[in-house]
Amino acid sequence: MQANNVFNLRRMQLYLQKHLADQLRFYLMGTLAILGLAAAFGTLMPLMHTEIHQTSNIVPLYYIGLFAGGLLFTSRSFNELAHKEKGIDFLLLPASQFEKFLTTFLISTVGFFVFYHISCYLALNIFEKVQVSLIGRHIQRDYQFLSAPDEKVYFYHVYFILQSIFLFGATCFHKYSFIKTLLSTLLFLLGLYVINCLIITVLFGLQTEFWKRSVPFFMVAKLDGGPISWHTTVYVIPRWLSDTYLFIVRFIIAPVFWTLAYFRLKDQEI
Amino acid sequence: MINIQSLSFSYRKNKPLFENLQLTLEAGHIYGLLGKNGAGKSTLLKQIAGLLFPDGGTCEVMGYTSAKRQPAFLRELFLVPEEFYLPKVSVKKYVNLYAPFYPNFDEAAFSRYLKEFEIPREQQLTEMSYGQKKKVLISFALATNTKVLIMDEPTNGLDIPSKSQFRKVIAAAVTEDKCIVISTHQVRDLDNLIDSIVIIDGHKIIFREDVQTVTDKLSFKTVSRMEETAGVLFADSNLRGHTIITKNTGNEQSKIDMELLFNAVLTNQQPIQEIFN
Repeated sequence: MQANNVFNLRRMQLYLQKHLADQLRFYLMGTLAILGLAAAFGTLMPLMHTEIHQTSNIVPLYYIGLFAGGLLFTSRSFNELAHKEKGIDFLLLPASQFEKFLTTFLISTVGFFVFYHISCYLALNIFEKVQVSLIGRHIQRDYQFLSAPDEKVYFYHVYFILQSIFLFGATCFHKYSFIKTLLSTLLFLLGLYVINCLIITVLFGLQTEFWKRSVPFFMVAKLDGGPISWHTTVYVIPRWLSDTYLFIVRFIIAPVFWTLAYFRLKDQEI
Repeated sequence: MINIQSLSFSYRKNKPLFENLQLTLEAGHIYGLLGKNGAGKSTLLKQIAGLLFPDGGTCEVMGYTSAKRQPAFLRELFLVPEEFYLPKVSVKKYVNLYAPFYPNFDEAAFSRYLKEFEIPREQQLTEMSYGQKKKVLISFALATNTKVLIMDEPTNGLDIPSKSQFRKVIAAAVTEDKCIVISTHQVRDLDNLIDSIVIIDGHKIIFREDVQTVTDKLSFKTVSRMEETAGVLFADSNLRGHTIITKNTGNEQSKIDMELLFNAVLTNQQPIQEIFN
């Protein structure tokens, strides 16, 4: 019988077992660190007389943890390829590249996301229990996570975009992946910004410093008049274009980088 | 079984390692891949395993394009690299994790090989020396029963008794449907083991003959005085006299000296090739 060379559930299960056995120490240490931090936060903060009235008070901390933790964890994906011996073992294990990619993708994307939220929920509940026992105050749950059409949902879109970029970065840079991907992303964004400045200069001329008063690729505030009185004319891209941007942010960028990461993994040589 | 056609490959631009390399290897043989340092032995093995991609030409193994690294191909090929990785688990756990990927894995054979190498099955891989780990990997590689088995410098790090154990288990493992390729620069370790010799030098395969043909056409002997022997193709002087290669004109059978043959092919290539063509 012809073997399925793309996806086989049994084979992927075997690969997952092998992957977890390989990375067991790292995952255990990571799990303990996150749970430990969560428990320490939940216990120590109320004891240090830090009160939390609403969940929205600690939301910045939650986002910092999500982005920093998630991106650092993702940039560690495919770290086998940083070592020749591990790389050979990884590439020659009889599982398809898709199964190997999917395993890492599920752990770094879905796995981390779920685990991080469980840890945060745990931390919040520990915090509340300690706070209630100390001062008898409950935490008001005023912040609805993942709520659309609230703009908050775009935090998650941005997170998954960055996560996909760092996953792609992990297939391009095998050592110091996080730093290299971060620098590459910043350079790319700088390049986009320069392009935006050029476009604005071409469209509006050089009379004033438009680039200081623009939202790149979205809006330009043009100062007219002078030298005594000035007024501002705001130019915004048409609705259909901003809708296209939103569509791209929500549904295109992350899958594109995930796909690129998969094909980049297929191209690995040692 | 292994079919390499017009292979070209370079690590750096304008510095080709292989140019128009042709090589066909058949099942049922143990090939010794010999070459100087940097000749490209390991690179050629990586091309066969699909770890490196050709810049030009093709590399097919069992009909599969090796660079695609399809599971159906990988489960019929095992590479024992010179520098290898073993997870921090026991031998038993290692087998539990890796063996299911190889449909023809023979657990009993694996135990036999470990016994031959005197490796305790319950021991943690982390507690083993480099040589012991290598023996575990060689045992596992043989027990997978893959059609293609590639070994890069397998005797490096093995002690003297282990080298003879290695020869013993490899010789016992070869079957009609298996192709074993062993790369080494320690040719004496492969004495009486390989049945075909492949020598790689100067971007291409410069010699590929089976041992029987070599001993049919060349004669290896030790003489005390060089002057008494005519038609010497290559000679190497040592304390016992001179070890020489001559054309085998009298159909006499001599024992192949691979190190001598290797040096002869590299230094006096043309006359030797003329004998085989």
